[in-house]
Amino acid sequence: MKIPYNEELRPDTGLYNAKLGIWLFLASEVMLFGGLFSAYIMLRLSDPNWANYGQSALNVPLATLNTAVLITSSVTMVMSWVSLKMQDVKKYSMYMGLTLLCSFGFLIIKYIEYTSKFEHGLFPSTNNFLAVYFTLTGLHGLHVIGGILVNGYFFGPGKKMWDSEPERFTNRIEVAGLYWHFVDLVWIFLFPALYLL
Amino acid sequence: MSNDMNHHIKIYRNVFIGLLIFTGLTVGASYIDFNLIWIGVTVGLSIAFFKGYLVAANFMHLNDEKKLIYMILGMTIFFFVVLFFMPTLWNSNELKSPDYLPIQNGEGINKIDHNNNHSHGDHH
Amino acid sequence: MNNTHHEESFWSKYIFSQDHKVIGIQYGITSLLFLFFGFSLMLVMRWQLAYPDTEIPLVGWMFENRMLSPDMYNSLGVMHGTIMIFLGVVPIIVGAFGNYLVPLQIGAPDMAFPKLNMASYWCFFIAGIFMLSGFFLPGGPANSGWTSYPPLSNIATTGQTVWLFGMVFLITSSLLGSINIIVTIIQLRTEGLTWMKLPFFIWAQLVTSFLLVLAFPPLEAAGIFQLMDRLAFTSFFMPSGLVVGGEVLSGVGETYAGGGSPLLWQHLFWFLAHPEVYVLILPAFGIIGEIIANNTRKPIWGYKILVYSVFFLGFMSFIVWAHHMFLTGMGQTMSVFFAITTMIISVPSVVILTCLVISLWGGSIRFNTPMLFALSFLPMFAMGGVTGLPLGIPLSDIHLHDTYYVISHFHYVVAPGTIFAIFAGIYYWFPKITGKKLNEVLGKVHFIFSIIFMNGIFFPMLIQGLAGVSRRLADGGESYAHAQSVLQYNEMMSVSAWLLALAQLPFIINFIMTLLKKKKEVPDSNPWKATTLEWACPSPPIAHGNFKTKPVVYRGPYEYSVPEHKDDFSPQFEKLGDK
Repeated sequence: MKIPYNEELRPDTGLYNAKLGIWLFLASEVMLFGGLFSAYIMLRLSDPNWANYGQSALNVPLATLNTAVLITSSVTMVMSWVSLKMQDVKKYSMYMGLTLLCSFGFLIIKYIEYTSKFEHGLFPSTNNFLAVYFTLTGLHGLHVIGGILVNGYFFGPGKKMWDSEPERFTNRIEVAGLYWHFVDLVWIFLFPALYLL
Repeated sequence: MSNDMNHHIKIYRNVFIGLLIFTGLTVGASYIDFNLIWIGVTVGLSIAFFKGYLVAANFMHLNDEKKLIYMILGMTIFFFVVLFFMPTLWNSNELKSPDYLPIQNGEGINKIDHNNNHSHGDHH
Repeated sequence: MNNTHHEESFWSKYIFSQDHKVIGIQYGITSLLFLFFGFSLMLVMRWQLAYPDTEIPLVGWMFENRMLSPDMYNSLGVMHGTIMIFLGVVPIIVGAFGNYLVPLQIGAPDMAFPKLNMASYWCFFIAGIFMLSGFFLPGGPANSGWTSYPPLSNIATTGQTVWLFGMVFLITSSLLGSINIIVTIIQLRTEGLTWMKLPFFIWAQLVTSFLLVLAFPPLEAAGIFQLMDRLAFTSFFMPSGLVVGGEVLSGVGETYAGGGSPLLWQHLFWFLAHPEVYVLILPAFGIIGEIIANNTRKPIWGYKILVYSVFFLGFMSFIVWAHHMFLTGMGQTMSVFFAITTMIISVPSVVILTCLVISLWGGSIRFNTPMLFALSFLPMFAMGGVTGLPLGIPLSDIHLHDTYYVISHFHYVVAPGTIFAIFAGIYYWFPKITGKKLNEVLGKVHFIFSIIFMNGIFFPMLIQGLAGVSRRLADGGESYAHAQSVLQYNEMMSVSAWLLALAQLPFIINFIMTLLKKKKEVPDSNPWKATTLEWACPSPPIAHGNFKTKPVVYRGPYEYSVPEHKDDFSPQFEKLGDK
């Protein structure tokens, strides 16, 4: 029993199933981060003491580097999909590997940031800015970990599908890429919202 | 097909460079002391939206997607805007009842006394 | 390309199944059990309300002093609400009815993502375990209202934390399930099944799933914030200067830094919880629509209007949420805005009800058990809807907010509303799932006593609410000056509740008895003589693939009593000239 439209496009919608599915999931993620950002704004605007909460304690150069790392991982992710479209599975592995490397790099830099805060006695409970900072970047970090798990699977054991169903595998990488680009997109807004503005 | 892909690869490379440049720009802009806070916010958010557009349109192929996806995203953005702005609008003083101000300094309800009828000794 | 039939182990066939039919039944059984459990919590609470300060019979041994302390009363209240909504009704109407019927009604072999389907059930199961675990904690389950308002919920006992974890898993389960339903409906419709030939049930499920996808995440955000407040002592919802029992909790140097906003929780919570109530009612409309069309032997009146109405309803449901917050000190502009949107949203519901009522006109009505429940849904839901109007107008809501009037309003729409639709659906689709019809006599007994006692419970609440009796009073208003004149209704409502419980026995006996009955060699695949696609496959449907051959759709979903036709129904899946 085969589910139709896993690889081939359904004529009237022009989509394969997983693509519609991932966009719906991303729509829900937009609403999730919408709720988070909305909370940030509400808390910030209603608290006159906000300026004293130590936004200046954040390490902007390190976060800028992190932004560049994540953007790079987004490029390597889309290149891994392009490689599959060009039937080059070796290049795919290279780019996917680079994506994973950048992802880990992002997490390591985040780890350095967090531990430096803790060492200075700055915790989520210290004030609401730090609460927002740790919660939003923490949730974003969890999404990065999720992406690492998915991409790692496709880099390793999941790669087998290329041999039996190459088109379906290519679609899967496209879908994983959409998720990963969304993670990058969120950071593109998080970075200025938390560090710069 | 290969030419098509090469065309895409060029675009991705340009977007990559563009993103890095604009990241630098947004960091640089944050060091400028604007006269009004909202100008700084607008600059920062505009750059962020532009970067987001680059990622969404090119990496996520949104500049060439199917109508159904556009419809779903359009609806989502609408509700996102509602969710985003409502708590802020809620707290805006212009939208509150004109006769009552928020409680300040624990004095009790500060009704705007247009006729100077009260005296503070009325409360205990 | 058919699969070669491989032997499935017990585990992959019945427990970790990816078959939408098995998953639908798993959801169905689990949520029915939760429904009965959540109901029994209320039966205990109603003893307290009828006879305050007396020992509870039968189950009193479970409670300290054989009575309900106010904290325990609150806990049972929270768990009753949470279990009924999130572990009972929604999993049945979306997880059970949705998963089982959507692929069948669109002619698909399964849902679009079978593995995701399985994952969504097990997330729901884990959520249930988290929720129930609260009963075994020293501080008892959550007791800050099903709405979990901070700051109370921030400082409540551990039961609240497991409630939050339960909600996180529930939201995950719901997201996975609703994405699956949307993709399935859009992508897997069979040949000939164009949009305007879809059964109304499918439209209702589609809009419901969109509501779930877009409205739940803000509650997830809020849940995470509250978990952070409780576990990491952040102050997302902790206002400055909070003093509890003489102890300063928030401020410089205290446990919490303060500066937070309890209203933030309310916004994020109600942003979900309002669309949530439309999640509760839309699939019910879908079920009722199917059953009314089938039992009037006439097409539904106003099919297109119905479709546009459910979309309009779904859209509006996102911009009315603050009508739950009229008493929080919002300004006039805000309250006027939300009052207007709330009044507007009552229109599509009325339109839908009207179309269903008009559908009865001139029909050859068959009064079988599903139809009895479906018919009674109409006035009962109307009661619920009408009582919502004074709640949506800020002026009257000032008097009625947080009173028994509200409780009556929402119970009328969900209890003799959605739950009757659930019963109707069970009686209607039981023969498709099992190949056997439920007994009609027992069904009618179940129906008549259920409707009588439902009204016995919820009508007097309107009177109590108008008198000003607050909700969540552990003594039922005994020590409350406003309540003295209406206290006598407490006993009547409690007795009605216990009798309503007894009235479910015919249903339970019927259910089990019919399951144990031997089924016919070749059960009737279309015992109700219906027109939609789920009646094209055998009863029960074929294990892998549902249909013997891929169905093709030739006409609309409710072609009943077509002129010059031999039969009074023309199924969607039968070619012209076959009859």
